[in-house]
Amino acid sequence: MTQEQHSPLIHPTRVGRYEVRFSYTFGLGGISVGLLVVLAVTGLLLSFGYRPVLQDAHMDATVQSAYPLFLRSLHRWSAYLLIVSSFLHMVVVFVHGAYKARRRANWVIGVVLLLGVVALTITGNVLPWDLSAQATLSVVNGVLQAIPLLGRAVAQAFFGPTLAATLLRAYVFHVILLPFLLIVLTGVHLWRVRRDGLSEPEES
Amino acid sequence: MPEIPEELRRRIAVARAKALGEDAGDIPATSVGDLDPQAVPDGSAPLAVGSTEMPAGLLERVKAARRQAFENLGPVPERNTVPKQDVPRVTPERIPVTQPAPPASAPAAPAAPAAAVPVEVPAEVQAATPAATAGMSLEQAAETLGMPEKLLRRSVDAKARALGVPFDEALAGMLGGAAPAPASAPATPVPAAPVAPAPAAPVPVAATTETPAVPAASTAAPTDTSAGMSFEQAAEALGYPEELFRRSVDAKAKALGVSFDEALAGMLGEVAPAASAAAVPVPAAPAPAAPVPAAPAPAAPVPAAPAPAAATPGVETPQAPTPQPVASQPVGVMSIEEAAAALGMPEKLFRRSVEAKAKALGVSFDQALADMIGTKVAVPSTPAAAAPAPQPAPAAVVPPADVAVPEAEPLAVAAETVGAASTATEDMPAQQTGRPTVEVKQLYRVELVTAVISAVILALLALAGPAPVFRQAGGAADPSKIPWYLVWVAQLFAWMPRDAAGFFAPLLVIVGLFAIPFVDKNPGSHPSHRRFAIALFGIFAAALAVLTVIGLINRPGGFGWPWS
Repeated sequence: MTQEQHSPLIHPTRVGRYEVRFSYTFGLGGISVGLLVVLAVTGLLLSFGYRPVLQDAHMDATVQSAYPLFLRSLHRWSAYLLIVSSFLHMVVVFVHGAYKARRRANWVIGVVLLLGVVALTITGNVLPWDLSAQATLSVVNGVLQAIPLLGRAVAQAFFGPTLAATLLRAYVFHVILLPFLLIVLTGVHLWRVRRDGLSEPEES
Repeated sequence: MPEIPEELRRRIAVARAKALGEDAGDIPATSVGDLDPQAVPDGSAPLAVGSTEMPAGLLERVKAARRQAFENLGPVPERNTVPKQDVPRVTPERIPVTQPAPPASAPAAPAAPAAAVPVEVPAEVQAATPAATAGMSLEQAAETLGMPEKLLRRSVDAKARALGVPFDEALAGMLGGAAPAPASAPATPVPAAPVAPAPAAPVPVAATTETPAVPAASTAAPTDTSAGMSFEQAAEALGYPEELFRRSVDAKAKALGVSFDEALAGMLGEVAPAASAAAVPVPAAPAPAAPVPAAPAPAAPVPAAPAPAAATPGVETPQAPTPQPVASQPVGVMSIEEAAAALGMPEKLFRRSVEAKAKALGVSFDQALADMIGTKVAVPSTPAAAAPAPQPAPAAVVPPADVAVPEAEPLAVAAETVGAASTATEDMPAQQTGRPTVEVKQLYRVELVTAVISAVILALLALAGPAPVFRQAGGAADPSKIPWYLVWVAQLFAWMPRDAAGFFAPLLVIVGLFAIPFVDKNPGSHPSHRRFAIALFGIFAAALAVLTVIGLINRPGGFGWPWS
């Protein structure tokens, strides 16, 4: 009974014994996928209790009863861990040189995914509309305004004319656009992993 | 005019009042409990639960009205203007091309419609409206093809639009009636044909007019009557747009370094020996006796070809049309290399594909291969059983010329054994190096353990450190509340001019990350072979970390340097 015969979709058709050792990958890619699933589920549940409107957002995000709080905490921690795990995943992939030749494209997709994760975390941090949201927006504003020539226009496009618009945009980015992008690209990323196989450690 | 329920009328009145800025408060609520009267005037409060339900009976009335409306619409109008009764049907010679198992399906199809509607149209009429008569009605065509009519209609429509021809003509074309007429007409001196310069294919017309009583299964397609197959015919037979097909053949020719014609022949399934035997070095590839799925061979299996004997003078008329075995056997024993070559696919890829199919269906490799090539291995039984007996009618049976050609010798290649097939998979990554692959259980175990541990850690973190929410945004921005993953950017802002910190540094990071695999040309992957790259990347990662730490320590309200 070899791996090949029972490989579910997300696995490569063949996995070598060396590649599957925990100390080789630290399971970081898999952990990232798992965190993504947790984020999707908790995010969906959270969205039932959140209104992206200025007067309600903060109130909705500060409900202290146990269940919403736990959901929020899970969501927050998953997001933080996802940043860490996907960054470390990138480091591991780099160290193993697993981005070469046919795996080039997947590295590029992976970088896009990492940026997507950061963008999701940023927009997500805006949603409670607290001081942290404000601080985040100030940093984002600084970065966008720093773009030569286009800075002001880009910042205006992102922030919109009013604070309410800013909040709503962050919300739409956070719950629709970016998740869609992230899920699709993660699918492609995994498919490429399956197709290309896991990178094998090279004997020195 | 149906009566508007009172409640609905009231709601309309309220809405109207609101729209006009009038006071809606004095509009009386009519049905108690149906609508929260408090909710309406300013619209701020949500409607009471249940208020959106329709008044009793309204739903039924709406449904009835909708049903009525649909009934009033009547049947969907046919876009084919030809009355069904006037249309003799033509066997869609080329249609089986797309069907994997022609022997089984083709004979059955033409029989049914033919039996249903006897052909009564005189030849003159047909000649007058070639396109129309050559084709069958859309409905019949759909039935014959086993396609939903709607789908076929859309398809024909699209084709008609694309080619700029009328709908009927496009239909005829798709059914194979409107073959490249100029090419085939001379080869098939059929009574009705001369009058028809239009795409209407002469042969099918002849078949149907001359022998009306017979199931009009004409196999004497243009492709069959001529010794070779012109490029256009091939394209049409395959159902590809000509331009696409031409490009495809071209590409193949270039790839293999052969001439266009040879490539075409190859794609049609002609193997080299057969091609030479045909002794027709004309661009037209000898008609495909040919194994490959693409080949119009499926036309052959339709055995009953009641065309007038005169129509195909050059062809012998053997008693029993037994083309199927000839056509299919080569397919059955075709080796994977040949099949791959014929399909123009890399062999490795094709082999993998066949394997996957075999596994999925739980059949042997050979069987899957045969299946994919378009014929069942166990072919011999089916055609004999399924093929309708050749008509004893006056018309001599025209054997599909291509199939009867003897030089279409079975590709004498031994079928691959399963064992051979399985060894062929050894070119895959893990085995290439001769390294052991893991058992699936082992992989699952690692994943499960990782998942469980991660989940536990995550849950503990969430319980121990609830997500912080600060007071509502407002007032001056508080830099101490910048989330940790942005602190490095904020720290850059503190140290650098705005443009550098906000734009060039992040740009450098992002572009650098994207560029890594394209810049790093070192083929080695072991860390000891790539010290420089790893050092560079390490500096980058360390810089991020250090910036973050410094930012966290130094931010206002933070910890501050311990020594300051």
